[in-house]
Amino acid sequence: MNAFARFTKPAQPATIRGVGWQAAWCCLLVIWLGAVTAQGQTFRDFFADRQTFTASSGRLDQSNTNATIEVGEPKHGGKTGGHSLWISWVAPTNGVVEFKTEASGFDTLLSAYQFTNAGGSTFADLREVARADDSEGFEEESEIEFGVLAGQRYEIAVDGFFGATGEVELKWDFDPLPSPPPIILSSPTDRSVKIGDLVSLVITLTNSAAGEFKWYFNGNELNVTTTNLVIPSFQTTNVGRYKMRVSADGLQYFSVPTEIQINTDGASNTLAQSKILDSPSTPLIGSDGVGPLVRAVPRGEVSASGGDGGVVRGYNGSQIFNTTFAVLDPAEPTHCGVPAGKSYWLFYQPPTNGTVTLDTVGSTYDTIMEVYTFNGALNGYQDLISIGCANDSFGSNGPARLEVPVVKSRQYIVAVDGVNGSSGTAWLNYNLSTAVLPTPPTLTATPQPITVAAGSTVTLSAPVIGSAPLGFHGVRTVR
Amino acid sequence: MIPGQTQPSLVLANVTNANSGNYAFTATNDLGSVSGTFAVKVVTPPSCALTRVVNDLRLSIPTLEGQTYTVEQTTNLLTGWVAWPASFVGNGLTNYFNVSNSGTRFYRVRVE
Repeated sequence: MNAFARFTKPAQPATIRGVGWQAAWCCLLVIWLGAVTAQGQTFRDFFADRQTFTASSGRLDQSNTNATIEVGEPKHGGKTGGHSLWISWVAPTNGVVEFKTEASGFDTLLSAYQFTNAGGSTFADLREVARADDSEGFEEESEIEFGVLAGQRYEIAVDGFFGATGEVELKWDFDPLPSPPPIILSSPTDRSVKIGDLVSLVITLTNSAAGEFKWYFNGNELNVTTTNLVIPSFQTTNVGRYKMRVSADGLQYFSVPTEIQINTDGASNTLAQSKILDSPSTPLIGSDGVGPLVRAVPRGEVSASGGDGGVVRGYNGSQIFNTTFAVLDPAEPTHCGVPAGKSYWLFYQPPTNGTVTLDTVGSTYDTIMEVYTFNGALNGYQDLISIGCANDSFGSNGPARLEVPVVKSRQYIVAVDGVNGSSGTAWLNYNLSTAVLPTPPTLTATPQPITVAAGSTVTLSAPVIGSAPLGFHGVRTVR
Repeated sequence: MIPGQTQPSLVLANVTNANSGNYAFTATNDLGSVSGTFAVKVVTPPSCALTRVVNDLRLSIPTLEGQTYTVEQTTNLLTGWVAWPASFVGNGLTNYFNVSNSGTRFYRVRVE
């Protein structure tokens, strides 16, 4: 996959004349953009109806509220959407193009595709070129950049994260290059590794001789200039986000970041996620070792269980991740009532009934932890049921720890956040014991008849204990 | 069903007789469920009165249907309250009792 997330140009010499010329150019650009929309070209809901744009720069504004998704349509940004809009764009010459949904006002997804063959016309013929959900530092905005070749066609899709809708504002801008730039064909996928693993991050490109490369880790430049980043023995200090910068003829652009975490249980597909609705796609699925793991394995990868069905997982281990780029969601609940804003979510399905002890010992910053579950489908924060939270369990500004009875058939979400928005490397340690089992609800006393005077206030409290979550419903019958 | 009642406590404010009844609850988790019932009775203190009718002195007690009334009497407000032998169940009407020739007495009515 050829995918980029950030595009920068070298600084131009700053002269008074230069500024004046740039301003004049901007004015001309606005007039010209007006001509684009005046032509009546728009986004289209159906892929087959998409219109072709040939302008090197432009802007489209349109609501995706009434847009739909079609059978076989790919997940844009690699995530679930629901209201996609399409255009087709043709590169005027070799260069680098940037598409972004800046100022759309809702959580967007963005992908670019190319047909894998000249006669391609269906979703099955598409190869993803670039994808983005939340751009670093811009949160809801999506932004992609990628190298393009003269005359080639790219199919651009904008969608809303998990069905989000609103006014899409798609802008694109193209910078020409005198010769074809390197084209990224594939980037490493997010995954978890074990401590001490050999980790190799490979970016596959064409025309790589035309570019120079530099790797970045959690935003910091690494002294690695090849397209293959090798970490011989992965350690906790290595968890985080990796991306590669491509430089070609004075232009720079980055590959889509790859997030590498540690799961000491060997669950390579398990990832803590910055957005709660992403967490069910990368769960920690417990296994008692008597059957195959139910976790789907992405195409082309080897099952973490090796197909033997004997892996014991979800009892003891640690998920270690870096929260530097956590998305701040203003709609998110406050965990433990503590101001925060750098949360990561781990989806956990225990392998058996028991009591799980969770802690953040080892984290490099002041953490808060809250455990949630839900009934039915998880569609957002409104579905969360809190069953425990912890902060400063071992002293001020320290890690959190709590014990939660868990049931095998239930799914839990653990939120790890940083006090006052702090972030760093988080350890989420889990230890499931079957010594203390969850309990069904039982009455602690027999409800007694109550006689009260008219006008007074009566509180009826069900005398019940049992493991969370306890659900209550009441029925009143006529005396 | 009590709409929206999904919490372990139910608060009934400023109750009236209409709030009387049985309130059943069921608590459920993944491992089972348990049920219980609160029997709630809301009573209204009667506006009793003593009235003279010719040569008789009558104690009048307005009643509400279904509530049980017990009359007690004493000669000393501080002690010695004695319940009448028979309680009665209200029928929505005013009940009258002749308390002539009883000497000095204090009366009170308990409603259940």
